[in-house]
Amino acid sequence: MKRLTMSLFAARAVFASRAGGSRPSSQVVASAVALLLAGASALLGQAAVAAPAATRQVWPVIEALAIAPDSPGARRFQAHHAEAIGRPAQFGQGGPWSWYAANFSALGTPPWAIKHQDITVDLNATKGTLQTKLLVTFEFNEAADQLQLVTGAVKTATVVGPAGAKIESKLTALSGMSLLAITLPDPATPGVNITLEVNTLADLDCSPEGIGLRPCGLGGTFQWVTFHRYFLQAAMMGHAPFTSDLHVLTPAGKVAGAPGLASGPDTLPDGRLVYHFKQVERTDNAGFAIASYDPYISKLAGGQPLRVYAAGKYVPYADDLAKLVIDVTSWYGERFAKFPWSSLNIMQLENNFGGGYAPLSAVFMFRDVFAAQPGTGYWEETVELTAHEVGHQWWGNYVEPYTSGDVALSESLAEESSCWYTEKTLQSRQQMIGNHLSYLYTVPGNQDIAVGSQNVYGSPHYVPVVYHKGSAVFDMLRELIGDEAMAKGFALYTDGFGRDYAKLNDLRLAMEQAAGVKLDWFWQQWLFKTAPIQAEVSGRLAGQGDKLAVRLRFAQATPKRFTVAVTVDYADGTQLVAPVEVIPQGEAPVVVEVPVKAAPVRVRLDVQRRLLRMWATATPGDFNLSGLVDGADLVEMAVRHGRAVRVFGKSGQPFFYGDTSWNELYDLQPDLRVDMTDVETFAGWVGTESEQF
Amino acid sequence: MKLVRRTTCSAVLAATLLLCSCSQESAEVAAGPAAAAGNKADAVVADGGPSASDPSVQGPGHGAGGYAEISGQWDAASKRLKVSVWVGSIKDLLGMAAHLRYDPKALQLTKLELQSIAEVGDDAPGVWQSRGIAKDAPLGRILLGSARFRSTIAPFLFPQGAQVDREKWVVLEFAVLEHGQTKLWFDPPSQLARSGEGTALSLQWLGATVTVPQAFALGSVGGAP
Repeated sequence: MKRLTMSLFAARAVFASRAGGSRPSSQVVASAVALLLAGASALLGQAAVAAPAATRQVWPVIEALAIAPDSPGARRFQAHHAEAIGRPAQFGQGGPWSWYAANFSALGTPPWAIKHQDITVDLNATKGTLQTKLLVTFEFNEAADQLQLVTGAVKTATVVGPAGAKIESKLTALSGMSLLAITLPDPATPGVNITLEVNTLADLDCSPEGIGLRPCGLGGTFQWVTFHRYFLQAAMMGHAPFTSDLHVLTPAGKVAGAPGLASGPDTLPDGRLVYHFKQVERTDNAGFAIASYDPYISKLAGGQPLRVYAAGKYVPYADDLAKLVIDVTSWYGERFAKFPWSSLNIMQLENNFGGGYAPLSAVFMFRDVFAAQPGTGYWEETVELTAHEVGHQWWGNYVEPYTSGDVALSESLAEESSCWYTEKTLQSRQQMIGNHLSYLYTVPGNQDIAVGSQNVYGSPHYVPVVYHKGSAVFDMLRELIGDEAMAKGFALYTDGFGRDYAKLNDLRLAMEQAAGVKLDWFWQQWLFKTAPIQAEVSGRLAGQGDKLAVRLRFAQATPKRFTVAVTVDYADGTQLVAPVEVIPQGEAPVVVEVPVKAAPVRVRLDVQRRLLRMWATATPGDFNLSGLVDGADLVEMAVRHGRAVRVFGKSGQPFFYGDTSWNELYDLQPDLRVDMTDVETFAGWVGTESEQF
Repeated sequence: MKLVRRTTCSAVLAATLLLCSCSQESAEVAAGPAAAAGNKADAVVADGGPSASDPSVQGPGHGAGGYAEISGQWDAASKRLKVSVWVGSIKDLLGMAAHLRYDPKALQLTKLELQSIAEVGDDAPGVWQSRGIAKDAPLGRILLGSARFRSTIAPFLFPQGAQVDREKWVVLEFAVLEHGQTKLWFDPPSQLARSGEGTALSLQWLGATVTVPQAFALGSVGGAP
């Protein structure tokens, strides 16, 4: 935790709120303007001086924009799509998705469940078909003769009973999946397991869905099946974990990679090979890939085997990725829980896969990640993506979200883990700041949705809300309670919910216990409500002699509680960083004071962008919060000039660009660009003093 | 003797946001005894030259490193004290600002001109624009600021500073209102210069002393314009 040099200051509001967006009060010294032109300047033309408007637009209008192509932000965005598809819209909300099996304790005891599956897959890339043979072992808690199963869309399915007799079944299309209803000849006996053989044939559709990753690929170099569910699920898709043995048939000379302990290959009479993957953990997350892999084999810090499946010219770089994975798993292991699985396999896919996917004990990532090397330009993105996907071994696999409203426990935590790791190891907050900006500047206010909403999967802003805002929220939590308490809270959480399902409030209770503070307000404000902090800020120097203080006022349209780091720069080059707690009481502005040793050169708020916020100067142009708009503000503006989070393509189309140097304070004409328009606007406010407060 | 009528109704010297030419002044000014030999006085020539009874401006002169300093001379023809603020020996200057203070009881500001600085760098003409402000508000505190801005913006373009060898930053004219000595100085907390990366640049901010001899006939000035 960052050590700050001052105690907290909190103050109640002392002034009534004023209408947002209005100019300062009549106490403001308005600018009487008479232009004096230097002789030569007249020849070049005098810049127009904008008179202060009676009212002004304070906050920008946010439009839903695409991300600038070929930008680092676009690569991150693409990389972090991850599990954005392949999940049902609702978990456990009734209807056909509401069956769930006897699995983890949080799910209770259902009538029946899949215990184990022995799966043999034969992928024909030429025909685009997937033939699957499944030996499915069911366990029964109640007498039942009707079994309803779900799989990826298949065109045929046959079921054979233990005695070799065909069993009655019906195949129905269901929302891009297939529903297989089986009628047992006799009701099953509780406590007695039954194994059925199910043979299916699917025509694969590998086109991407929505913003997600490709569910499968049939290219010449890599073939894979990831989000397409080649196995059977006994219940609603999120809650049906089972152990499995996977057997992948490959052409001669090819290698298969998948989650689980790898063995083989065996050779079939026709020359084809069979690779085996034993998954001793219960999961319904899986996938496999086939290529001319040359696996690089290493070990995690705990001794578990690590295999990096890279192909062709990427093989020589696999050791760099392996070292990274070893470091990330160790780093997480020290903070969350020891790496929980008996192995970890990392598979390379085509670039058109579009990102990363992390089933239990495995990670699939797009091709170029496997060529990155430390010190090269692409390494940072590689670390971000790898750390995110490896984070899913804990978040989403070791502890699974109970409902779709708890998806932050998977994606937000994986992203925050990655940001935490990159902050500490790359000494960069670029990833987190990019996440802040993505949420702030791509999600229109009227389309915002709470991270913890049960409907968040259906939002067109799922990624910026869950991945980006969600990670920013947990980053703010870490800032609030400190690294040590955060790690302790994660350890408590995994200890209580490892190999189980959890809800957002389960994490809250763990964090409260670790930090020794109540966090219900934080959870409510940031996970169950929308919008960032939006505050108009005023500054003044108060007191005299050796009793000086910087007085700050925060006026929020939708009050939020936060602690902001106030950075005070002095003329002698020294600096004070003081945490200031802002606790609104109703809608009235909050006034706080920070004692200072001398008149500051400037005062800045949240320099490292640790708060999910937008600031605006209540006295337009008083960027250094001195209480007077003067030349120093012009100089500060020059430092921030040219930054933009909205850029334009060749044909004029606007894109979002995650410019980590962006500072919205200087966007006086809020168009998401700090340009000469803002400089000209600034001129109209020169000499203005902030109102007394 | 005609007495000076003091007034609080000064000439309005208000906010200016100037798009200035980069007028590289060739004249150099001896800011004081320590100024480099060979510097010339401001190009102000009074009939018969300054006399011992005329008001004068004396500053300490700069040492090595970046500086902002004040020079000036009495101009008998216009009956004004003509003062310049010079800046120089600054590498990578993006912008600078200060509050230039004076005593409005002793001096009355009658002219305020901001010159462009740091507009030209290594880039082609037009790439950079200089913007500045100069405003006497409140009276006796002249808000000064200049900075350079890139004409176009793009994600991969960042601010860059410019080399400033020696340039005239501000030209001022004062009417004198009192005998004796009075100061022109840069308010310390307001002194600011930043590089292209935004780091603070350490400059010598050198004020000056205006001396109005008792022998000087205030009445001949004519008071406020």
